Amino acid sequence: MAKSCLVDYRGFITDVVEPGDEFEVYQGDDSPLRWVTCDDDNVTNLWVLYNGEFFDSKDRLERNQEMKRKVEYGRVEDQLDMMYWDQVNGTTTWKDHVTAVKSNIVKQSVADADANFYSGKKEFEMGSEEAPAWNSLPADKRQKVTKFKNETVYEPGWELDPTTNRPRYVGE
Amino acid sequence: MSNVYANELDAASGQVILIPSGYNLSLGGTILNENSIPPDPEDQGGKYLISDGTSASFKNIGPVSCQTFFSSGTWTRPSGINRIIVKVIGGGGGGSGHSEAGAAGGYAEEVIDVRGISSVYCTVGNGSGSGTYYSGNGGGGGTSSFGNYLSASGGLGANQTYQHCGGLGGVGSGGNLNIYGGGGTGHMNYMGFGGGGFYGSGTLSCHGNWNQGTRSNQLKAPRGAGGTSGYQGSYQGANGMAGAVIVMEFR
Repeated sequence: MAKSCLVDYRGFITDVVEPGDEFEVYQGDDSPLRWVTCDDDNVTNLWVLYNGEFFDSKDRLERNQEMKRKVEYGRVEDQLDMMYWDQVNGTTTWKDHVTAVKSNIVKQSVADADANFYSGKKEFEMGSEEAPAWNSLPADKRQKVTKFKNETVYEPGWELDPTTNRPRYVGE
Repeated sequence: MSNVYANELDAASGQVILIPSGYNLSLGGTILNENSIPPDPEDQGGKYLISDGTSASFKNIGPVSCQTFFSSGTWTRPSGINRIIVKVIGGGGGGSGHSEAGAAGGYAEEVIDVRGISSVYCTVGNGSGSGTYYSGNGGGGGTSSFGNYLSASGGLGANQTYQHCGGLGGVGSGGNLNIYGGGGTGHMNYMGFGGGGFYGSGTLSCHGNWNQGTRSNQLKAPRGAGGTSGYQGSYQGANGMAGAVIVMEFR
């Protein structure tokens, strides 16, 4: 089985439907969107496409240990409050808190030096307009869809001009 | 060829001077015949004189009506409608917490001659229903489209591009005007607005003294807007707003 995914040039999925349920979108050569095929039925719009592979964005490799520490330290005003009450009560709440953060969230340099730290995580880089993400898929997974659910209906004698993407009269 | 020199012509009898069909008058080289004469304007007040390529007549032209799609459905060309202006906006991405907000859907707009079109399916992208808690993926909005003519992708959710970053805006395509939706705010201490689309930005952001205000008012925002973040780390961000397709109809 497979799913049909509408993906943007950066590699983000906006819509997932069953094959045959694709809706019409602008498909000119400059289109930033394309219907592509994903063989994994679990795909959702939280997944990304990179280097020919679909995967959940939570599995991306992100080097943000410093940010994690910053968040866990908490707001400066809250830390000042801890320090004040430590002074008043003779406790070490703030120091213990900072020690716990440093212990639980390793420094970025330590994480980078650990070969197993990012095990299972996947590199991700957004595609560009010049090199859209779908280019990394095999040709049969990114063929332009030609048959849609709820297609545009033309008056007798008219059809879509694929060059101009406008209706043209061809005679009845 | 013979010439008649006169300063005034009078009918020999009655009050009609007849030039039979098939004969023309030439005024300085411009040929006049029975098709050159505009229709009688009596009782045609406010109308425009329009040619259909072979003859002229008085008609009402200009904007006539507007169809708005807030959910997917079929646009059917009303009788007499020749041109439309279509406006398409994608769905908004969802927000999380600590100011990490979703982005707005892209926007596209186009003038289309629809004389050859009977009906077009309008897809309206959902807003992300994944507005979530701090550092979670807010989820992206869906793509909106007017058939194969023009489309606008959904905005991305908070943390969907990279962690602690606001969502990236969706993008319009196929139209005479194609623009990105505004991005969401990235990590800060408190709360940040959902990205602004063509029709405006996300719902209100709230301080701790009304910490559920963002979530409880998440649908009170313009179509296509990104979800505003929840207050700090303990409150859920707003969902993204659904997109829309608006069809303005002209005779």
